[in-house]
Amino acid sequence: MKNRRSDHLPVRLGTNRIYILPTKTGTAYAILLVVLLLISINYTNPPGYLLTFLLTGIALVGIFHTHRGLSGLLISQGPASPVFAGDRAKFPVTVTNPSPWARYGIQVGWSRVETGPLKDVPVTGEQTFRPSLPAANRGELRPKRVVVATVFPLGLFRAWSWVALPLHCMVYPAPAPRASLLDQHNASPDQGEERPRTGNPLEGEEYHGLRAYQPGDPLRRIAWKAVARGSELVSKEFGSAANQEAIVLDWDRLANEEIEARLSRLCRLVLDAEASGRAYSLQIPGKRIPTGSGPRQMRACLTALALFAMPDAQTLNEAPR
Amino acid sequence: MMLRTPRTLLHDPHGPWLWILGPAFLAALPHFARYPLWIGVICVGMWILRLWATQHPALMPSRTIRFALTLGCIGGVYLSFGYLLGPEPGTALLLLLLALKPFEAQGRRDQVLILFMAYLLVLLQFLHSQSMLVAGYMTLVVLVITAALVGVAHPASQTDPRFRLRQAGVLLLQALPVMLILFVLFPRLPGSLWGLFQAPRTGLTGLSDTMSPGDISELLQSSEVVFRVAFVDQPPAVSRMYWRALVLWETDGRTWRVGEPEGEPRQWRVRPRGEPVEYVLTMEAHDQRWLPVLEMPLAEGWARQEGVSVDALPDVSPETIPGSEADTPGIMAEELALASDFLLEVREELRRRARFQLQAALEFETDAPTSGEHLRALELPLSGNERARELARSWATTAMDERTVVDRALHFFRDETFDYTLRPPLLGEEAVDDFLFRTRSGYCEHYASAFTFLMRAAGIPARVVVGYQGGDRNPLGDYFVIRQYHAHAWSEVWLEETGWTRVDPTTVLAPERIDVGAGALVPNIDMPRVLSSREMGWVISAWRGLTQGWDAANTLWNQWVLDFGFERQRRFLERFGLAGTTRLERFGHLVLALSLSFVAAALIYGVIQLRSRPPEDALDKTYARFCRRLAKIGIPRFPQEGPRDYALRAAGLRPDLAEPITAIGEGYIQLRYGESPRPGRDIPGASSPEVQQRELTRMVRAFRPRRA
Repeated sequence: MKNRRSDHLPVRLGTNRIYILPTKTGTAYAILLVVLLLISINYTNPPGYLLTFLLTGIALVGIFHTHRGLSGLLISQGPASPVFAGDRAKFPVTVTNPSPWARYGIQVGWSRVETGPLKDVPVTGEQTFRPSLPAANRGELRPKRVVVATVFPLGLFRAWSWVALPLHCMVYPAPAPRASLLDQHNASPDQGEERPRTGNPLEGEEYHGLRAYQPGDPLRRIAWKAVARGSELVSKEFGSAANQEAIVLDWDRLANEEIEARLSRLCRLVLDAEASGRAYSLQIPGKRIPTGSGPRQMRACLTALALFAMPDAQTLNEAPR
Repeated sequence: MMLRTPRTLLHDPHGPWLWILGPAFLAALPHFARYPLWIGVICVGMWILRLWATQHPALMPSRTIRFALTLGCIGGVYLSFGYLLGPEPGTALLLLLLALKPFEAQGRRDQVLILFMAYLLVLLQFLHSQSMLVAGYMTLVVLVITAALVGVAHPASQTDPRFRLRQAGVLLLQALPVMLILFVLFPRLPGSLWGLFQAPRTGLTGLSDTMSPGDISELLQSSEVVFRVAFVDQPPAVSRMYWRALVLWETDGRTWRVGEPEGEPRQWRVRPRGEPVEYVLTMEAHDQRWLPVLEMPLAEGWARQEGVSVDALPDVSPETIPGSEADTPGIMAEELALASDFLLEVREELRRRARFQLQAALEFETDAPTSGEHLRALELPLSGNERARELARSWATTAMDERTVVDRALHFFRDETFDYTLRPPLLGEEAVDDFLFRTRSGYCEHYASAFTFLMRAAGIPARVVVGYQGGDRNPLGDYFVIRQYHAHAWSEVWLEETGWTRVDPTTVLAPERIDVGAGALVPNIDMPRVLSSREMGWVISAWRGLTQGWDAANTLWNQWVLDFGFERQRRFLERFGLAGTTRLERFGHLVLALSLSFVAAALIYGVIQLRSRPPEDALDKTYARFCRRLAKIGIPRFPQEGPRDYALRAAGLRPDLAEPITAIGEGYIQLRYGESPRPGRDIPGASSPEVQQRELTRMVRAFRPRRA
């Protein structure tokens, strides 16, 4: 199978790229037809011949029906949400049906034999499939292609097509367990501006007051009561004066640990820091994320962790064969 | 809740199983009627249990119980049938397998297997009945099975039977052309193929030279053609058509046999009274020597015709009878021989279809039996069936003559409560006594056997004749088809005045059988009694029309489906110049059939594709035609060129054509991109877009530019 990296999106399933072969059930059906034919011949039974040939006709017509189930479909993809290593990465694949007949029992998976959930694509409608892959390691998961398949209407033949989509999913390092992380991190003495803290960064925070909403503020920090009174969007500010200072998450403070373990810890720290609502920056060899907060900051930090020491054009986790 | 709509029945958890077991039940239903009751009870019971078990998993039988059940079923089949290898017990075993299979079915594949077995059951039913009624029912069953198969590939439609049935229906309809092509072209074999699965003495082989209770009713299940007859003149009444095949002399009180005559078979003569009946008989290959001949054959009838070819016959052309084409020997006089007992036989086992021209006398006198025959015609086992013997003796002692004894016996059958049934109860050791005094229900062989026994016990020489009675008239070809279900048995007694005289004791019981033939018994369509009042005259005539239509359909079915065998196929293909005589040519048919059917399927598919494509825009079509015509004279439209630029360029290149080109170009732009018609500027008289478009089409059609 040649690499179809060059497919334009959305990919149209033309006749030349749809393959069709009998399934195991189809093979059994062929054996059934032979048995029926032999009985009909042996007993020179005309209605038996009729039945045998009717069933042959059904199978023949069924080939075309199955083929037609895929022909002309448009395949495109949506952005895959990042996952942590160890989770399953889900890749949204949208199947659009431009034709005036419905498509039944469509599957999207990774290999010819793999069976995903069956879904119908209505007339001139679309349907999103979420085939998933186990994301074992951090990095970027790039399956080369998906298989769009159907066995409808009889299950005797399977039509399928390989579709090369630029699928990718960021896999963050698996976050280390929650306990004692910031402790350890902050226990390292007199480094940076950070003050020693205990416990969950969210605990012990004090309400400071309101300030104007800034993009990136967590939703739960918005003062909804104030908003309800008709004011502008305002966010609540928490934390002690000391906590107002930005956290620096530094690779070097986690010395004596193996690389992946450090990344896991830093991942946990990023999550906690984000949850604490304070600004934070990340410092890893070869990369520095300046101070900031909010989902974008978190994503930037986690992506940096995920891609740490990864070769540029590496494709990970080729689809399981 | 006792009342549940079918829709909710299709919900989980029974839904998936109902979709599998329902079709299996429908396919098995006609089989249940034929087999011992316990098989049907087990099947239905197990299936209901399986549906129940979806909610109560505790009901699932364990592995041990299933194993025991399987063994029990095999044993039961052996007890019921006496053997295991053969189509009959085989089908029974398949049914029972189908009853047990659901309990070990795990996934989708096992369910599919059950559906495949249901398809097989449909075919097996055709081995027993090939009537159009059965075929119609089975078509529905195939539809339901296919719908279930669709369901396996599309589980989401579990509660939507209409969806599945529609999908299956479409497939079935589209498969019809393929079916017809294959049916017509698939090479048939002359006669049966190999006797691999043939049961010992199954009904399909026809009459045998012994007769036990149950033999003939077995034949009744088969509509296989035995022979066809065309009468040269007026055919006799169906009730007079007694086709004698074998005469049985010896009995042990239960089974009748031909027996071994002493000495040479005697020459016989039948003296006809009145005009003999002349007919042409086309016998199917049956691997036997006996020939069913109309009572009584004239010994000189066939001899006289020796050497006369079929074409010389006045009324019977070879076309009249299907399967009698030129290469079938017309007269086979030299291959016929006189058999004893006013029978004719073929010199060698008949291994291919053959035609004979014969003569018969319906009114006749026969020679008296020899003393040896007389003794054989009175012979009875030494003991047994004492009550019957006593009854017969009491008649003999009080009767005036033999005729009276015969009448008394017939009265006995009519007046006592004798039933006529195709499913008689089993008879014990004393078969005749058992039948006469206990069960009192049976089919023709019971009556013929008991009657002949009574006659012999009363001292009247008697013998059993087996053969066929009646025939299905084929109105299209004006000939009669005699099928296995016409098989019959009757008696012949020796009376002083009339010689050997046929007595058919069955007639006193079931006269309708003799009037219309057994064929009418099989798919019996009687007019409902309710409709017989005079006010309902139109209903009756409508009913008549219906039954006649039914009859015509049946005839077509018989002609084009049931009789479409080796010969018929060849004659049909000859018309298209496709007659293959060599094996290679016939193999060519197979290839042709397969490729044609694939082409047919592809064509059907193509038609669907075309139909489901969104209709092409009429305006674009018109404009494309305009562009094509311009391109032909050397002004093709460039891909990037808009219609306005194109029109300008074309008009500039061909000033002589400027007017129509500009008009068409403007008209197209106006219709395609214009908001509303601008009167006065564009096409004259333009009002609505429809009118404009029609005008444009007309202009384009009239636009026939020539090269400058």
